[in-house]
Amino acid sequence: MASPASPASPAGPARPLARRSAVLAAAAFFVPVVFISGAASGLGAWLGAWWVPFLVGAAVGALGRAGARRGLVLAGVAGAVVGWTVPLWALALDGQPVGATSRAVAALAGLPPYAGVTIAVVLLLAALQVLVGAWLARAVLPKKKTGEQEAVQP
Amino acid sequence: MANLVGAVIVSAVLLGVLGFGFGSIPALGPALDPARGAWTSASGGQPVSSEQLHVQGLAGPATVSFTAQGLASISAGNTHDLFLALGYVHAKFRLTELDAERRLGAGRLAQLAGPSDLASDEFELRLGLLRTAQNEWARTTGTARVALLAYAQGVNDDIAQVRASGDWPALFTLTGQYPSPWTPVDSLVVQGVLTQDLNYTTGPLDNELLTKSLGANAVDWFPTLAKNTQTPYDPGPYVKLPLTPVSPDAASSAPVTVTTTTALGPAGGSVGVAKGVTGSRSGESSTVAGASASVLDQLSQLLPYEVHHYPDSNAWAANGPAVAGGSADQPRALLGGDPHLPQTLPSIWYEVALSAPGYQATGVTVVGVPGILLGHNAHIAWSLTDTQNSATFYYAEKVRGSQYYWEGAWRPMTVVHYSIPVRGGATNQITVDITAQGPIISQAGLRMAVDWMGNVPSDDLAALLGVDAASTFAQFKAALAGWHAPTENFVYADTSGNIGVIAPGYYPQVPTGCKPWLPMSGTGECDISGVIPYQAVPQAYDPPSHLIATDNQRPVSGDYPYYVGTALDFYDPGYRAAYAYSALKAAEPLTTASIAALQNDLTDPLAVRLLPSVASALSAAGLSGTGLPSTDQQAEALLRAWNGEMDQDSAAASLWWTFWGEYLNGVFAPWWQADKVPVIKDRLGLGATAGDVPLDEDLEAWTLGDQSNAAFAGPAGHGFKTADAAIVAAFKKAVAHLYAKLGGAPATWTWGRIHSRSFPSITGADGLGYGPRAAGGDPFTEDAADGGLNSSTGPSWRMIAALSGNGVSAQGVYPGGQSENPASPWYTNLVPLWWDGKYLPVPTPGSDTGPTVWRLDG
Repeated sequence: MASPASPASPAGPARPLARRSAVLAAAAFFVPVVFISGAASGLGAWLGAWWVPFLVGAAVGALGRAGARRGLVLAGVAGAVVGWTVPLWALALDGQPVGATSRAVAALAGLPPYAGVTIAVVLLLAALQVLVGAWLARAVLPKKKTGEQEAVQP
Repeated sequence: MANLVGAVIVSAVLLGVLGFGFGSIPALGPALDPARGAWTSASGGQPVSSEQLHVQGLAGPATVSFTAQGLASISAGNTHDLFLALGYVHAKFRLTELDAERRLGAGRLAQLAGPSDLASDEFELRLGLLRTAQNEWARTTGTARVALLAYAQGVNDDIAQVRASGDWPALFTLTGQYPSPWTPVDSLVVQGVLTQDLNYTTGPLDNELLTKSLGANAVDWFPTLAKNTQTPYDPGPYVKLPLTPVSPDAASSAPVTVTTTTALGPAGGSVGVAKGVTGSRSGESSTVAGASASVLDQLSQLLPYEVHHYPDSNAWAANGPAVAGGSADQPRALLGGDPHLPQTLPSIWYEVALSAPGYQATGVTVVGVPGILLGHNAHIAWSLTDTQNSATFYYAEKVRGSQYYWEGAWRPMTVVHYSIPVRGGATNQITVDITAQGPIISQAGLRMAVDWMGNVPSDDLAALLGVDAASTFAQFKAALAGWHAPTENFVYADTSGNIGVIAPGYYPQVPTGCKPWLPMSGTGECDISGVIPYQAVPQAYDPPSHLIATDNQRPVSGDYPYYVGTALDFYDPGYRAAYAYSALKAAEPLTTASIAALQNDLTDPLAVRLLPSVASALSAAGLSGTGLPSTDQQAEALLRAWNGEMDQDSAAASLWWTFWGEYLNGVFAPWWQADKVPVIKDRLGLGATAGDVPLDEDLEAWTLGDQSNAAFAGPAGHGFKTADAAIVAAFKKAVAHLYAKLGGAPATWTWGRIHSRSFPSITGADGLGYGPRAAGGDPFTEDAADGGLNSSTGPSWRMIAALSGNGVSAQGVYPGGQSENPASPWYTNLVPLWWDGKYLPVPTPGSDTGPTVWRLDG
């Protein structure tokens, strides 16, 4: 049975090429967004600016309103989550007992004393901030017309 | 539009709650910030490594070395640097505990924990630990002043370093409440907290309610002298010397640093008027009972260890032929000590050896206080048990507006106002009224003041530093002359082979005719007239038996010419003391292994005493069967074959303890119900349950020698009539109870299935404690387990010292670890050793104990 990408396929190489091109284009768009939002969130955390994910959310929300492609908010969420994971990972790589600390923090907060609980709450907070920030930006900024939106799409 | 409004509101709420918190919810944004929030506490959980540390205030270098288990040794060039380094080390490993303890005593817990701890704060501020500490500090001089200042500097050095790094313990980050600088007053407040835990009692209040309910029976069942056989360590003869005047209560005077106003009339509605006060004891008894109940209501809202409940410490010494010896390097004396306190994580103790020119001591310190409290130096070893004497007197005040009637005239009360910040709530304002006897602590009805010896200035630290430096019993006694509260049995042994004990402290006395075991009139005629002179307090030195055992028993016999309290004052029933004397005698010549065996002994002496009577009663009732025995008969066989050991694998232990509870309840509960004893006001003090010391003593004495006591018949006369009948009924109920709870055959009802130990976290966080874990022991065993079927009070430190011509060597262990950080390998690492009855060498002063060394410089 021939695969869609088989040379024997009547559709020829055009479809895989187009798909690959689309994937590459999406990656070229989303990876920088993830990277930038992650870097901003991580740097913000390092500086004590825990609210940076909210700004990230506002930014991706605004970009979306400006006609950027769909999925931008999800990229922002992913970036913020990654950005907040990196400092914890760095602590663990440094040999610090992150799991035990997470468990202790959960217990002190009155949550079930499992390491995953606090880490999950932290990452949830990052994601929540992005989503609410994006919602605020989309609610504040006027929606662009479809034509304009198409015009900025690649 | 609705979308916009919704987005704005949700954003504001989210950022607001995350940034500032809401109610008791902390500001989660900064608290959980993955790079700077509570995660930074992980650094404190890393294994300790050797490093050079800059510590401000040191005059010269100091070193801190650690064993693999975390036991510390500090060496410095002078005592100032030594105590500074101790403060620094305490803060490094116990900053949360330090802050929590001072908050507890200073009435600032609610600022950290929220409204749930407001009752504790209000009570502490009324009682006056803070006022006492402030006044004590104002009069502290000499080495104690130097030590407190240096210690505070050391704590503050660590706080400054933590503030600079941001690596706060998680509790501070989560609550957003960071510790203020440590002061000498804070150390004295912490000392006050321990004094309160050991010495503040509600006996007169309980007695008032019991007397009101039970009438004459209360006098019989809660007597001054216990009905059972006692073994005082100071059997006399005694001398009656004139009383020593007592200093005025510090908590009764105006605090040094708190704004105080003296009101001559009603002060802004803060001082109420008690109604129905006549000044006549008989005419106001119901009001006094009401006020007693009111105070007990307040106390019931406190943390479990703010009021003294359990009398379960051990300290023994042996010398001469009682000790295995024979050559110069073998022990001339042995000392064993295990204070029984609430077992928490972290522990109240921090184990450390301290060395500086002129000061060499090792053992355990109380976190927050400089100096070794229990341990040894090069010449002597010592340990403590609580004396349990009556040191808390209550006075029913005659009040008019903001005045009280005292010594024939109306006088203004001292009025002190406090603001109590509450996390997640409004700041609470309270007013404390103070009379000549002390602070008024009742909140309803008649005004009740408390005169508590813990509020009398006591230069405990100077006494402690003197003990740490003593080398003879004379020096030891002289140093303790200034120790006033809490009253403790200081057990002593030295390298010359001498042993001794003295119980320094204030034993308040009132004029003849007054009844200090009940609330007394506050009009002046029953004020404390003095205390027992130091020469006459309970003591012993090189007794002919070559043994000293203090186990919180009444330290003196009935011939003692001073009032030291009644059977309701939490004296131990004497089971442990009697057992210790006989067990030590039986094990002679004693070795450190003998002492260790006794510290971990699980024999219930009451069970051993009563089992023959119980077996006899059950046999007479036909429960001693063979062939295909019933469940009752199987259970009886287990009990009959039992040796009294409360081992976790023993089914007979379950039967015994359940039986004893049923027996005691079966005899006394009908009276309690008929006379409407308000048990709900103070379950531990008023309940007819196993562990209520006078009732345990009564029932033991009646079972062994007064089988037809009228108590068995019950209030209507239709009860058991005899002890045997009550025993059989209680046994059947116990078997039925255990069968319903555990099922199966009695042989499977092991004690560990219904009894456990827990070491809760001082934060109250369930996940940070240890246990519950199946365990042996009960309140009457040497290895005591108090606090119910899930015990959390018991041996908080076990130490054994062997004293020979070559010096002192000691071993010890406590259930916990040196670090308060749950992520640290030193958080619970000592628990398994403690649990298995093992010990570690106590670090020797001046020696580097391990490979990890901190080098401190100024």
